[in-house]
Order: sequence, then C-alpha cells, then structure tokens
Amino acid sequence: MVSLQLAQSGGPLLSYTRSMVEGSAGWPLQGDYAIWSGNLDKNASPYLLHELVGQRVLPVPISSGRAILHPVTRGTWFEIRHLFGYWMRADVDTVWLDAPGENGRYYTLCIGGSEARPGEVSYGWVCPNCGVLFGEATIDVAAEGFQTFLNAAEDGVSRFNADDGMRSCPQCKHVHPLTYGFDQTKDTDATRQARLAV
Amino acid sequence: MYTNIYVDEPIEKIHDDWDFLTDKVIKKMQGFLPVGDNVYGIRQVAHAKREEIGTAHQAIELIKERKNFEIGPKGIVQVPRIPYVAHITCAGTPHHTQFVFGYWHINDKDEVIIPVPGVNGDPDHIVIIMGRPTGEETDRAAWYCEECTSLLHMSEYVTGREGFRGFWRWELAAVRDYNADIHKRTCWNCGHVNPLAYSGFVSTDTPETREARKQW
Repeated sequence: MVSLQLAQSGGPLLSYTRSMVEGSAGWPLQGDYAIWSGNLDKNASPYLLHELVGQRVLPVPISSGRAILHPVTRGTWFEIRHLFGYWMRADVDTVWLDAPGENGRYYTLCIGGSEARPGEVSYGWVCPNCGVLFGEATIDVAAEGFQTFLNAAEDGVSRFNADDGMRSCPQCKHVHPLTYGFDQTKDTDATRQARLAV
Repeated sequence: MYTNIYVDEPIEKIHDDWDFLTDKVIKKMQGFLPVGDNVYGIRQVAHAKREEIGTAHQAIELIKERKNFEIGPKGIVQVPRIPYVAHITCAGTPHHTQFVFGYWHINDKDEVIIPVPGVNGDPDHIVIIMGRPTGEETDRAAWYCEECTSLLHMSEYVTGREGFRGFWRWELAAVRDYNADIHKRTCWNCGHVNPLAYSGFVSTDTPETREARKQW
C-alpha cells in the first residue's frame, strides 16, 4: 500500500535525489529504499563487493570499461571493502552500482523493494583464515528505522576492536585484524589504517 | 584480506546474470523484469532527434532531448535527469517522460531512476529499479488535461495480483481505449481536446500515435 511521504514543507514528497557526485549524507532510509551514494577518486583503491558463499568469499568484479549493476539476494552476507568493515545481511535485496567516470568511480548501494523491508538487518565478521562467520548480531529496524542498524554496527565495531577475544575466530582461533565502521568521521588512526588496507 | 578463501569458480558459475548491464541482460530488461524483491528496467539513451523516433531499433526509445515531469499540489513540475544522480519518484506521484510513454504513470512503489553515462564512447543508460508490487498494489495510466491539469481518465492494473507478465498488454489496451473515445480526451473542465496517448513500445505506434509521441 502507498504510504504518504512528506516533504520538509509538510506537503507530499513527490520525489528526491541521491547524488553519487556529491555523496549522500549517511545511508538514509526514505520510503521503500535505504540508499547510500558516493564516489572515489580514480587514484583511490576501489570499493570491493564481497559475498559469502558457504565459507568462501566471492569477489564481485569491479567496473572496468563500463558500469556494473549487481543484485545481492536477500539473506546473503556481503561487505563493501573500504566502505564498511563488517559483513551485513538484510531481509530484502540490495543493488550495487559501480560506474566508472572521467574522474573516478561512482557508486550507489540501494537496499529495499519489499513492503516494510528492510525489517531485520544483521552484521558480523568473516574469518579471513577459514571463512567462518562469527560475532553476528541482528537488529530489528522495522520499528526504529535503518539508522538503528548503522548505530548498532558502529557500536559493534568499537567492541570488536577493543577485545582480542571477540576478534578470535571460534573455529580456527585466527585473530581478525582491526576493522572499521560505515561512518568515516568516527575513524581513529587505527581504523583509518584498517579501512585503507587492501 | 580474503584472497586465500576466494571461491574457485568464476562468478558466472555462482550467479548466472551477475551483472545486469551486460548486453545479454539489458535485452531482458528492455521492458520491466521482476528479479527477487525488485523490478528492473534498463534503457539505452538514443542519440536520435525527436523527428527520428522509431529509427533507433530499440523497443523503448529514450532520446536525449526528452524531459521528465511529475504532478504535485503545485501542478506539473519538470524534474531533471542528472548523470550519476539517482532520482527517486515516490509511490503515488504521477510521472511522465516526453516521447517515451504517452500517459502519466502512477505506481504504488517508489521508482529509482539512475542515469549512468557511458564511457569510452559507450551509450548512456537509464537504470530503473522499483519495488515488486504485491497484494493489491496497482499501476495506473492516467491522463490530465495539458491546459488545466484536470484528471481526464485513468486505467488501473493490479500488478501485485496479476503479475508483471500482463503489464504491457494492459498498458497498450489502456492507451487504445483512451484514444478510441474523443470524449475521454476532451477536458470536462476547460473543453481542451488533448493529444492522443501512446505506448512505451514504439513498435505499437500507428501513424497517428507516432505523431502524438513526437508531440508530448
């Protein structure tokens, strides 16, 4: 069913935009979709979309001569390397657009499509040694909104980085390196290093 | 960091159509194709001029000089299509693209429209993503008077129940029904006789609807 979206003026919201050139402020949910958009300079390491397949990692190829548009099926664990350092899973599909341009690369990450979704979104970590997923937590965003997931994941990153025990793989005991959240303004020197690491 | 545990198979073995912007998949999305939670449409932007509509050999032709409009409380407003800027038309907003479909489309789902410029001489594309309708969610083709914006006529298709398979058949029938009765095109408020409607598919044009397509 259509739910009326209101503009700041109080009237009905007809439409809105998300600019990959300017970059979106945060990753806001509006109507049916939570859309992040941004870009990287041509000299920066490109964002890498990874999907978890069993205990293996599937790298989705980056754009080269032309754009790519890749759907991440609901229920699939994925990460966008350099954008956020945790893995996430949503109960609705996600669409990843990676488009080359003259000055760099332009990106859109769009979650949504089904009514009242995303309703549950999870974060966790994948052991780089054995591929096991661990430390996962699921956030009910249906009532409180998508930002509650982003906030919970940021808190999860802080706890994860502060505790070697939390970063130890329950299967192979490999210690996961430090990681980073979605909000780059909260980076410390250590998490910035982690964000830039290849 | 994960290179030691990368899958051994190429991505094509895991996901058949992993990239929707390949020529193979674009062909499937010239109309609208439901995949998972969303419906996708991908349109190549033609370099043809308005007078040359019908020569690009595409099912749905987008020419560069087209303009996009929405209707709200303040009447008809033009909305831009800017490279690398997603434009999201909210559910319930009547919207029309000049020369592409000759009616105002109103759907019950938000519609994400992303202009993706081509590089290295490749064509520009428009990517359309919208939620997959379910239940009683409906698509509508509506016509408003071009002089006074009064609602003239509207046809509905309960896409959630009927499925996207019948969408284009309904769309063409709605266009033909509107065109068959001049009373539907004649504004009840100001008396203006509005132009003919036309389908999204250029191949369905008659000489008369082709002229209408070049007009609005």
